Amino acid sequence: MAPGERNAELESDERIIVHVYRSPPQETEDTGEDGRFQEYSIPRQDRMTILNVLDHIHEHCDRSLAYYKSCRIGKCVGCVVQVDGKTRLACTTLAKDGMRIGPAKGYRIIRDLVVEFPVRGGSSKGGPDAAEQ
Amino acid sequence: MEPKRSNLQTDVLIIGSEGAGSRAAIETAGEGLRTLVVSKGFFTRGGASVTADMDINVPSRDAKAIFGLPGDPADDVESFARDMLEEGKFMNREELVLAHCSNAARSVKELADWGMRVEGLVHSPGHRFPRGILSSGRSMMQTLKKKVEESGVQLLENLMITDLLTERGEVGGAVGVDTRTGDFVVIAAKAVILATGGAMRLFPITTAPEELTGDGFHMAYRAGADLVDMEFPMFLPACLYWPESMKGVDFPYLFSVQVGGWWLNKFGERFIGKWDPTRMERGTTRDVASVAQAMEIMEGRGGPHGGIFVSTKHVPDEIQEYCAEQIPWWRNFIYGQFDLVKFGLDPRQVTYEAGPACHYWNGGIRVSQKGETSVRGLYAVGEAQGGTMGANRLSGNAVAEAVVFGAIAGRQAASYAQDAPLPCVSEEQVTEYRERAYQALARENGVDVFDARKRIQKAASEFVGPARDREGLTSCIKEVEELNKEILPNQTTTSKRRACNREWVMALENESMVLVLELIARASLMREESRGAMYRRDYPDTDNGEWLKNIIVKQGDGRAVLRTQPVVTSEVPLPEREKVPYMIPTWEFDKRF
Repeated sequence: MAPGERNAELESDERIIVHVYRSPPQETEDTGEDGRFQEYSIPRQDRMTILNVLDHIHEHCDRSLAYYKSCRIGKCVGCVVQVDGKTRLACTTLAKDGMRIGPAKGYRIIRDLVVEFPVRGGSSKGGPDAAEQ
Repeated sequence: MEPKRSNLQTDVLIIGSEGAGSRAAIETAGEGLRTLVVSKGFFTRGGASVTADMDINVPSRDAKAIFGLPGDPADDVESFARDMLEEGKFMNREELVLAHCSNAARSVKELADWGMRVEGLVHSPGHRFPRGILSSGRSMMQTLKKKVEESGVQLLENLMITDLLTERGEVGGAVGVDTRTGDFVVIAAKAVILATGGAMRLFPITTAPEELTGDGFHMAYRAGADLVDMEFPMFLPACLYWPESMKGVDFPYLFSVQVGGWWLNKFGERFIGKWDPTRMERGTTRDVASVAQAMEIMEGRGGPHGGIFVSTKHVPDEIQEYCAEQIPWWRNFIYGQFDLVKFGLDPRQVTYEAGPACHYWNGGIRVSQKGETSVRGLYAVGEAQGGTMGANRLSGNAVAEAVVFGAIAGRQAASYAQDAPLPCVSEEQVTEYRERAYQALARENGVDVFDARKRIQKAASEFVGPARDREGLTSCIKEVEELNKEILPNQTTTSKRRACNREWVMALENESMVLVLELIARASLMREESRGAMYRRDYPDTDNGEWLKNIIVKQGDGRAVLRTQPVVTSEVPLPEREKVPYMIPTWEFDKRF
């Protein structure tokens, strides 16, 4: 057996419902007012985090979902989201039935749950054009 | 609508924005060169540096003299270098080790002067002396971020470089995709520094962040650079295998080593005694520990989730709580931002199921002590560089490597770019690379990107984990051939949106991952012995007679060409040229720890 290979099926049949913010389909700037919360029903996993929920939706429900993740252990703080009105890290917050997951407050929305983090002297604003010769 | 194309120019292009890339940028911008840093993710919110719970090791003497910490004056650059070579099983390039050891203290002092917190000194496994200056990746990255922001460096986030541009064997820039808009970017640069980290994400269970998929190895290889020691990906033992949602999280290892935890098989045996009976769990190095755990699992003595068991339940609560208070990253049993009590993973109550997780890339792009690769104008720094760590990295050396060589290669690249003309961009190359970058998005029907990713990772886990053999490696190469023929050329994304398309990024990463998988398999098959992070079940001894050699690989005629080069040292004597059992501790752990 290879390391990490499970010898038993351990998933339950139980499902949870979550609501996730989606930007409008057109490629215009999303001010946060034009999007809507989409409902998803997904199977519950043991100690499932919000990031696990987003991964599941992306792989199995909608490949166009935009979200950001990097370290998965609460250190890079890139996966910050708004959950039921509170600022939380998706990777270290346990998922609950009925949760509303939106983009982090106070940042410009890039798309769905991806927001722009301010960098001084950086490009965040202009994209590559800022450096164009 | 066709994707837009941006044309950029810079003196020095740095691919990768974290510890090594940032440190290099401060140097090149400081020399007055136009510096462009690109990041696949968000600056300081991606990459490995920010995740380090780190101790940065420096000669113990300097820990005392420079930082006023309780270091040992008996330790110096030479004895630090000797530990790195001995624990790297002599695969390290000595000139890199000496550069590392003699610059580490200066580099850490610099970071501290710039504002990085220094919290104490620790003695990490495998080191003869207490050398670990305790800080955190977060504190280091906040410090570097401030310096980078002040230094006039141009930063582009969400830019995934897919290929290097070359002209007559010299590097001339790079092309990539702005993942935020889906537009194409062409960058002409006099010098390029790769700070792209490792390829740990090739493995399904890893401690590494999402971005580390071997992109830098892939582009360097395609540009004709030498890679070295690719058979030695490093694994961290005792990382969580369960629950599913936390696979790869490393606290069971870190904590169990601190408080004297046990690693047990399904018969309740402390199997490490078969491998390292003197040092046991607390003192053994991570290479041996990972091999020992992988072998227990592969031989059927693991648990229901494919791991071994890690327990500290025999340690009285009072001791666990006392230790927890002593360790900054473990206070109140909160790790990172995981509240383990809330997650039902309190070590006083739970036995973890855990095992090896890919953690670091010992090998990589072959560099000189100045960070130069075999392609003119191309540099590699930090984890992307190969040769510093040999067959096994000692604890607390990755961050030092990033900042030491970031600074060195930065200076070198700056002096090269000072005199170099701005290269011409070959439109022929640009067109070819652009087509490659957009193909998964353009293709209507084909192989699902997730299916491809799972198949690649399954092969890695099955065939090139810590313990390997000829049969598995041969199967792996066959699988790579299949992946190259049937899977990669047919990948297709379900979503065709160019902006923020994570699936498209995965498809591009999959190409890098298959190359890395192939290089590990070919180099491992060639190395008919066991050494450091690589254990061959069919060649269980370390063969210092035949294999005091590095394996170097480069692309030739569209395929991987491997060659060996004998290890040469001038300061640290090599071991006797004979076969020895895989695990012989080179020094007695208990004498000093």
